[in-house]
Amino acid sequence: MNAPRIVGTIIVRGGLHVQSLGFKQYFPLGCPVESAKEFDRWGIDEIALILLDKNFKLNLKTISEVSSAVSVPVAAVGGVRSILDAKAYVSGGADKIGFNYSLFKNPQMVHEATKFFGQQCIIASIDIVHYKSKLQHWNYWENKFSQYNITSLIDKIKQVNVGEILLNFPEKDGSGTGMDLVAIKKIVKITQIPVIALGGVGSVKHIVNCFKSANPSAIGIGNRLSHFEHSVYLFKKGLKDIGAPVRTGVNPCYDDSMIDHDGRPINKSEKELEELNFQRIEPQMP
Amino acid sequence: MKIGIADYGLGNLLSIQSAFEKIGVSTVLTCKFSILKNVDGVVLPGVGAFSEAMKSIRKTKLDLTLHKLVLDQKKPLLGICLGMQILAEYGHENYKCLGLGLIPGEVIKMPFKINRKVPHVGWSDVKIFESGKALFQRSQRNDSYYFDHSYIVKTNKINQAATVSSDNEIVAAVSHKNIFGVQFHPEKSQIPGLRILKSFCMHCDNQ
Repeated sequence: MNAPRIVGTIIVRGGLHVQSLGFKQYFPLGCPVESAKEFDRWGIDEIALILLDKNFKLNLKTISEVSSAVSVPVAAVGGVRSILDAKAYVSGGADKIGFNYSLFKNPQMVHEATKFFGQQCIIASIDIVHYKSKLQHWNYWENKFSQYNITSLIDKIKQVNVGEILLNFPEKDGSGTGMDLVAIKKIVKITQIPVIALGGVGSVKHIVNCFKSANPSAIGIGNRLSHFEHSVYLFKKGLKDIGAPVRTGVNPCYDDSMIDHDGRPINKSEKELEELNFQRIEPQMP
Repeated sequence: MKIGIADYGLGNLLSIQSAFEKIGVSTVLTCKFSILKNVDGVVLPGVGAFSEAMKSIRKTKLDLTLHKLVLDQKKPLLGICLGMQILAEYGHENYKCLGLGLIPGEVIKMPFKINRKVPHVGWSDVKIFESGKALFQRSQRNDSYYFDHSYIVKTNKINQAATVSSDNEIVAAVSHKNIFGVQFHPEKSQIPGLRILKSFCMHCDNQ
């Protein structure tokens, strides 16, 4: 079994990394390349760029800058409407491409893309909302519910033969109140395709719960990673503590630190710090 | 020391170039024999489907160039991801088609198995065999690598350099004389991945 992945989600709007609240409000955070570099250094497993730009040229620049700055896979989601767009993304440095709009408007094209780039390169990005105690697909470009429920939606995605599913929950987006475990569990159960769940992570507890009960292949974290230093290490420590397999060989780690209720490491005692003074820590060499 | 990256219009060349930059090795992007004959080692990248990749390789005559470089001049070759798969004799992605035939074996769809997600995507540890000594010479215990593929290479035991530790049906690396291939993406696997590239460069230096 693969270790569950932590995917750092960077939402880009107008060339800026933004914090998104419910897909409605956006607050600027800074340069997407700098955020990606930090995530990479802190041991992230994958980076997903969600591009909300309408200006196509701007997107391409962000992708190539991020991709050459980091040494983890980069998935680019948003703004791909044709095979030519997809080719531009891939040669710009994206390892995977996410489709949302085209999945419903032009499934034939997405199917062709899976044939051209291989199944593993294509992600289906879908938005799910609760509606009358049922799960329904959310049509973001028309701002309404579509006719698909979960089962018919997954069937449609299987037909297109995509490699991964990126689940997004507009109601949970940016709330930090925990993930939509019911929906994630349901979807993971009915499909063999790896699932990336996104939206609602506010603390280490949320991802631990999600992996325990729903077990998706990956969890995407957006806002919360940008709130404090070394956030990726601390999330991984949480997973390690419950005995979940996490990617090894990443340094430094917080294995011997205590974590407070906010999820941050507690200061070591004076005595321990004193001893650290005389320890040599070898840097990791390629 | 110079590494040639085979450019046939497919694949994520930018990140491979910047990975070599990080370990201080200069690279050249080309598909021309006149330039590739002067490099110390050749890297064959690849993203996409087997059949599409072979089509573009034939269009740029890279197949003939690689045969000349690898079989006649004995230059070390490293295939990455799809670049490793097309080293095999046959591929079955989309339809059956000929590969480069540099390593015995064929490429098949990952068979269905309970608890196996297809495609195989994520970070996995590998089990290294005798023939993988050169490629994994700098690797450390617990190093894991980033995989993303739905087809696997089927080859005989002697040519397997490494397999995925949790699923020994998935061949993670192949090796055959001066020809190497890795199924994972060393350019996307942080420091463990750079160690693979560095080992390859050291092997090229020793030639």
